[in-house]
Amino acid sequence: MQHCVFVDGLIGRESEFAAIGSALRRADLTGVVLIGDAGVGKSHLLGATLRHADLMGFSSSAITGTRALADIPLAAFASMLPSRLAGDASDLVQIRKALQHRAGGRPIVLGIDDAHLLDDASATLAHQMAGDLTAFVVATIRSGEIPPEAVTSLLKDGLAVRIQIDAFNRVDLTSFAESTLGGSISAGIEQDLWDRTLGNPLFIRELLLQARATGALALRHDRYELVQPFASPDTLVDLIDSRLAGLSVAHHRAAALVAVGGPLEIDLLEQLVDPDALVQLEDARVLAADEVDETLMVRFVHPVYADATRRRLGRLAARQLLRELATTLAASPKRRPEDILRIATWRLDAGVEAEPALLMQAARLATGRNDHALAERLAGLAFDTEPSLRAATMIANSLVEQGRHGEAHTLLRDERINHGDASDGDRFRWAMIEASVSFWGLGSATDALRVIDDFQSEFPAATNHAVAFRGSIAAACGQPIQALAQVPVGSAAATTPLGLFTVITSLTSLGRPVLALQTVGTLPDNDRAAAGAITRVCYAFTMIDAGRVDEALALGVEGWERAVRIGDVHGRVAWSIAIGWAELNFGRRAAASRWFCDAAELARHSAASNHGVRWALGGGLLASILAGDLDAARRLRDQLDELPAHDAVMYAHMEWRGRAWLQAADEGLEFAIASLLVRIAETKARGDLAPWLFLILDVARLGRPELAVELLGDGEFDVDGALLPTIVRLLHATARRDAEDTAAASDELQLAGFRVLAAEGAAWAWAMSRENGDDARVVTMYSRRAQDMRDQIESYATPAFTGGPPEVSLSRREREIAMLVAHGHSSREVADELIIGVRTVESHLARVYAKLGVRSRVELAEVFGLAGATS
Amino acid sequence: MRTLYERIGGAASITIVVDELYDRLTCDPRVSHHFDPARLTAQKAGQCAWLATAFGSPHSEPATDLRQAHRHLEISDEQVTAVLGHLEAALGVAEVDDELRRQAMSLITRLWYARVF
Repeated sequence: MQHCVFVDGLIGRESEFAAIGSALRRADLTGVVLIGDAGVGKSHLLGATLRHADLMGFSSSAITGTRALADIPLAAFASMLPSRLAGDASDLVQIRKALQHRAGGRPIVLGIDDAHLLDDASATLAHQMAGDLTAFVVATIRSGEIPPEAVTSLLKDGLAVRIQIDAFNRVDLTSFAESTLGGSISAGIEQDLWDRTLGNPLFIRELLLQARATGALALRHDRYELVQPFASPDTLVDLIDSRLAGLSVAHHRAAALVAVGGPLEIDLLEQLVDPDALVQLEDARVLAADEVDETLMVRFVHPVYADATRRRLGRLAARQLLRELATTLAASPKRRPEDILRIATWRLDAGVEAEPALLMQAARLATGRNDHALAERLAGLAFDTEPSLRAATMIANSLVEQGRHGEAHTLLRDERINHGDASDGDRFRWAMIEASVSFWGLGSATDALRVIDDFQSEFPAATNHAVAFRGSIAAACGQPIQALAQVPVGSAAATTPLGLFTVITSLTSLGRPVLALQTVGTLPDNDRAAAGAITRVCYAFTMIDAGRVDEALALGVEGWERAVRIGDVHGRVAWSIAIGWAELNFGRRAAASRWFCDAAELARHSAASNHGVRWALGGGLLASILAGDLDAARRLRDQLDELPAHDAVMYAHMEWRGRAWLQAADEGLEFAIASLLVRIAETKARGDLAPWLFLILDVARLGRPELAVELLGDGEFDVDGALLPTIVRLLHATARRDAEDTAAASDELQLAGFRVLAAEGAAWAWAMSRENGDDARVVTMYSRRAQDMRDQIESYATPAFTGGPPEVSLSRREREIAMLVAHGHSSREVADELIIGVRTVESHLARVYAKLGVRSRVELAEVFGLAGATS
Repeated sequence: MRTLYERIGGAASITIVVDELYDRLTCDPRVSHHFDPARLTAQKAGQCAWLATAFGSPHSEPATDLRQAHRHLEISDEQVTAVLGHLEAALGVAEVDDELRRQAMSLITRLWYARVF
């Protein structure tokens, strides 16, 4: 080896360290994930790597995932900011800037210790920074732990490699032991160490240090020998246990409280144990304290200590401690409202009867934190004590959030439920969730409507909400006329969250997105309520249909970030799809695919909504097929085939279109058109105008513009906004082979942000002008426009781009150089003008000649209509 | 996800970058002595292949290890800064947009520092 790297503190980990180095030298990787058992030395290796990276000219930064902070967005990165987290999207930008500022041009290595405990937002940011090459990420994960999705996807996306950190082998064990003690060891010790520790570094270290401290290990003739056998413990846990056993009663009690209660506020602990004991445990490096939200929280230095303490704690003792914690916290003057959740959980675990009201309050808090499993448990206990309708509804809600619609459905019909005591509000919530489960969860509009009918006949007073629910079902099923008949604009029902959803969705379906936006007025600003979030997403979709793609994109990214921050999975799915749809039309299909893919995975993972999975997979299918990636498209179609049916067709539009495009590629154009015709007839019958128009547009885009116009019929359309009327105009112009009008429509589409469609229109206009035998200059003008527009988007494999004669596409720089040369400038002059090298000019020019099929500067000038300029 | 190679504009762009880069390097007294005019074509071809691989071209052979390639050279920090500066300018000439240029530079800088890691 040329360079023999000596890195301090790396004894026994040379090969793992070398693996990190090779990953760093690989251009296709932007990270490594170190995976291994507790105590195997992952953090140690990470630390050594970061120190070495700094020495080698990198700029290293480190963050650590902790259980205490796992629920607080971006907490892990907070220390990198000069000020406190703002709690909004600007944090992401600021953190990135702070890292780059600190690096000052040096390459960045970002270390993430205990990445499995990282909060989702930090994990997402780390993934982004690896993905866009801002930083090389080195993360550690404890075997068997489930890290946030963004961390796993580093591996799945091929951005990072996994490096397994195993226990030491015999040779490494010896060198590690010797470096720990700072002297050589006898063969006997080595054997003994191996038998006991099987090479776990933390275990080796603890064993040796303890043996030396007790005098069992002594230095004789420059060599350590065992004077007495090692202490009795056989496992790391036992060893730590024996260390803990050496502590006084007060110390024990402190450790046990932290073990059962998780990280605890210093104030709370000091009420229960002697403060001196805490200080001594910190000195003994058993406990440590971190500041979280201006409160000092006490935790163990290594999680293994918590496991060890918990394991040796009797169950009765643990219950006793939990009871004390619950009582003390409940009586604490510093108690915050959200502490109810901890109090209730501790009481439960302590086996103390908790009154149903407290449990329900805690369940609501758990729901607010998106911890639906805990909410289910708490509400479940409340239900067992008192089978109220309210508790049943809360459990059902938790089940729905966990995607267990079937169970929720059964529970809501449970005979034990005491309907007698329920208030009208409780019954209302019960009916709403039952209808929700039937429709959104199980996909049956009929069942949902039956529930609402029953409810309505019993409680005419709550009619507005029931009516809005009916409307929302009709709207989601693509029946805008019926939906608006239920929930007329301006009616009381229209002001409820679901009413708002109904109005905005239906008006958009009817091709009146501008009217929809006006009617809704300002954006509802309630993200917590599911209906509020989905209405915001609909608002973004409506903006897209109104031809305001760039605004929709901005709104989408903002919404997505907010959803990530508050842990709202449904919101994240819906916003990702909205962004994907905008990106796909805007000409960034790769990004669109990524958003759809993320959404599908998340929706599937959370199992929260079948329609979400369908929606996202459909988007992915359409993006793949437009990109010409048939394999991916087929894969997505197969996944779609496996999904259960759902009545909410508004989520299937992209799927229908994607399937038709795939059919055109796989089975032939006629099959694709036939499928489209079926959907066109369906949507027309329901008055679902906007999707109908997009389907007809696809008929034209696939190569049948005359048929498309025939399908449009003669009637006038009452559609509004910058997009839909332009699509109608484009279709007519294309069928007439009117290059000028097609180009004009394409210009408008460009302004609306539908840049792909605009580029297709421009390509059509060019082809038409060629076919119509227009003057060469006119053709050139259309060709330049077509090229310009196409340059602005990623490559799309639609017939407008792939069909027809081979294209001449000059890059901006090529065109610039070609123009200058056509005007008679020499290569030297061009080079000076553009401040680039002569050779660069020549290589650009050679490409221009090849593309245009010309052989000289004179011919080039002719193409640009500048004959004579060079002479 | 499209590779950096595709997003930058593939072989066509990389040829422009390398042409421009060598135009600059051979004129810069800080580094020009490292480039033998007789071997320039070969060096440029090698550089094209290396950049293509680094950026993720599906067609290229595995590139030479940077450490191996620079083994016999004494390279100062100033020279590194000079070369990286020229590379960044050359990417600009090839019309690589700001964000892609940042990504490309970030990658190349990392690979350079990592060669002795």
